[in-house]
Amino acid sequence: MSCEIFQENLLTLPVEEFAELQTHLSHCDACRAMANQLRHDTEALEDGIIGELPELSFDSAWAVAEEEAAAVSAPKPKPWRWVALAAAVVLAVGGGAMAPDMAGPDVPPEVAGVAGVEFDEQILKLEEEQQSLEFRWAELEQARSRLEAEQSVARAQARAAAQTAETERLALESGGHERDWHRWLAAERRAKVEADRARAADYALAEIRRDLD
Amino acid sequence: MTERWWPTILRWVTVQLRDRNLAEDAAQDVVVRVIRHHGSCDPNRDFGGWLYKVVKNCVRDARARQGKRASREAPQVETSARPDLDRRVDLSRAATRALQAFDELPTRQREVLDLCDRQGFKPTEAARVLGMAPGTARATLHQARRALRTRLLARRSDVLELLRDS
Repeated sequence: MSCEIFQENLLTLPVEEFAELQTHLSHCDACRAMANQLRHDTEALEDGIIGELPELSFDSAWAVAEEEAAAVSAPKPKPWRWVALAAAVVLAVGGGAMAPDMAGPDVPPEVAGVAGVEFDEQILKLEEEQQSLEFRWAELEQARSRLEAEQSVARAQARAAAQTAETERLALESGGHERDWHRWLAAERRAKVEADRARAADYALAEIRRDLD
Repeated sequence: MTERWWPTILRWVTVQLRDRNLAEDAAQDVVVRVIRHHGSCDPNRDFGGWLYKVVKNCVRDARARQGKRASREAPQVETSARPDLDRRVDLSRAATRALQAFDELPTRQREVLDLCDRQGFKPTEAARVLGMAPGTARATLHQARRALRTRLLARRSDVLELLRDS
């Protein structure tokens, strides 16, 4: 096989597979130099990338993210309260127009009639908005019930997994073998996963509760 | 789950952005979005693929923020394409050379190369994470290796000379 083919392979094979070309590389200076150079540069690239990774720990990133997430979701507007307030204002102002006799002697009957029609339209619109908000409220309530159930299950599973991990650790400490070591590691991993799940359920529920508040 | 993926997140943002400060901002943003939007991730499906999409969005936003900042802060000054060059003086010459060659690759090639050759993903796994067909991932990996190594060798006149003589 010619050097050209080997050099083509050196350009596209994974570096770990260069060893398979060892027979040729051992007696061809040019191809060996090329392979060594590529190996060296690949390692250098890895060093370079590692040297460029941000020095940001997961814990600090998570702490900042939790603060940000809380800050964004805390001051939520409560639209249904504004609608209720608007309805009260419209009732107070429009009420006079609906009942011209009660509105006082200064309001002519024809003006009171026009205002009454506008008032009816506003009431209809507000009723529609109220219905839509009630529907949304019911949806959120349902979601909250579901998430509360999920949170309860997730917490129970996290507790059970943590207990199992602890039991495995004690077994390992009281003279365990390699098999116990693997079982303990597996239990630890499982406990971590369950704890993550429980934490995720907590966040989801906290968000829904904030929406409902 | 996110903690387990943290080193991968850092690598992804670094490989895509090629700027440490931007990468740090983007990584932080990833965690914020994971906390806010974890509900949209189906736990029965591939978490890596979902996370990768989050990373992509954060990288895109980081680039946009950088663009806005650059145009607001110094509109008349021609900015260098490699603003962090000074910091790289500390790195060894070989690493700098290798990084320069790596920077010249298209982002997609950098991503596939890093996932497969540096992080140990199989091309099919990388394809799933990147949302591309497995065949495309394999072809991109092939192109990326060839492009990177050709560039690396082009910077070594002594090796080129040997190859020419052979």
